[in-house]
Amino acid sequence: MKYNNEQALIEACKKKKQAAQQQIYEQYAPLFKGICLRYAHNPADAEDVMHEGFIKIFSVIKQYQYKGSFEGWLKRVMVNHAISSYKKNKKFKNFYSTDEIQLADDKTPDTDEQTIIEKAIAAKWDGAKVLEIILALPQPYGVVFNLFAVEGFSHKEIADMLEIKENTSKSIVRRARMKLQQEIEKKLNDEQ
Amino acid sequence: MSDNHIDLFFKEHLSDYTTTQHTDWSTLQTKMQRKTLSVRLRSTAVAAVAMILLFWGWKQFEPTLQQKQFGKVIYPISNLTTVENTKPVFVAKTPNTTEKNMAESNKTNTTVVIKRTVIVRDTLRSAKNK
Repeated sequence: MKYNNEQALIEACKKKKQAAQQQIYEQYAPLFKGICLRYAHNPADAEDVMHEGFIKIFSVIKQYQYKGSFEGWLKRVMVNHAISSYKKNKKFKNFYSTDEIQLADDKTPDTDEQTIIEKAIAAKWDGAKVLEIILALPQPYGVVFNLFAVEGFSHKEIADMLEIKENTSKSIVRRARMKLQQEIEKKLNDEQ
Repeated sequence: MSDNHIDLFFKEHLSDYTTTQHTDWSTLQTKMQRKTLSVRLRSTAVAAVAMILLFWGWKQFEPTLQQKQFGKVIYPISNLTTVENTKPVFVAKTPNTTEKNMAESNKTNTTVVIKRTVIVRDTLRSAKNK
């Protein structure tokens, strides 16, 4: 059975109809796998996080009150779930325990930011290639940068989510940008 | 929202990034069934443990043989009227009016204790002896 109307689909899902759950899964799994890849250690973990996220969605879907878009609500549940899975990783706490975080090769890139990005845009990379660059970052940098730049959370929200200081979040984003710039430059040079 | 070039570049490429490299619905369905089963098993196990604890608790408070004697008329109450100042004699779990009255009226000759539903009277041994 295929639900053509979003409200009917949601209501059926609230009643735990398998056909509705399957439709939601098939519709959103490609997007959510992309989200989970940004927060998990590897593709296999990302798959697990996504599955658990869907189970969470199906168990809390009754709370959805049609305020805001359904996709936005689903995304929020999935991101929150991905973050809580990430937080279970013991390494992450040790990483954030220092206030000022240093990258091993923390140096200012040679070319300025705008020029690099213009070149990257001209190279017409697809999402997978751009994702590779982010995944090259040490995971805590990638996570904080994603939350700030891609998901659009404020430093205050990130600090609350990850139980870190607001300044730590700012510092991580600043250094992540520097590292990303280096990675983009490296990738552009490799392609030439 | 950040207007940094790098932030915008990544947001543009990744906020709607999708990949078809995910397992099909049946994998998730199997996981969900397994999860439901494990939840059921867990609640069954919890119920079983609760039953065991309940049984254990009941065994702890199960009356001993001596306690089982409690509430039994171990000597006919009618004989008590003639008995005086001796050892405990009669333990009634739920004394009836006759027993209560008898206990009250025999205060001068016997030690009568009425405590909630229990009457203890000092008489049995001598009554038995008589």
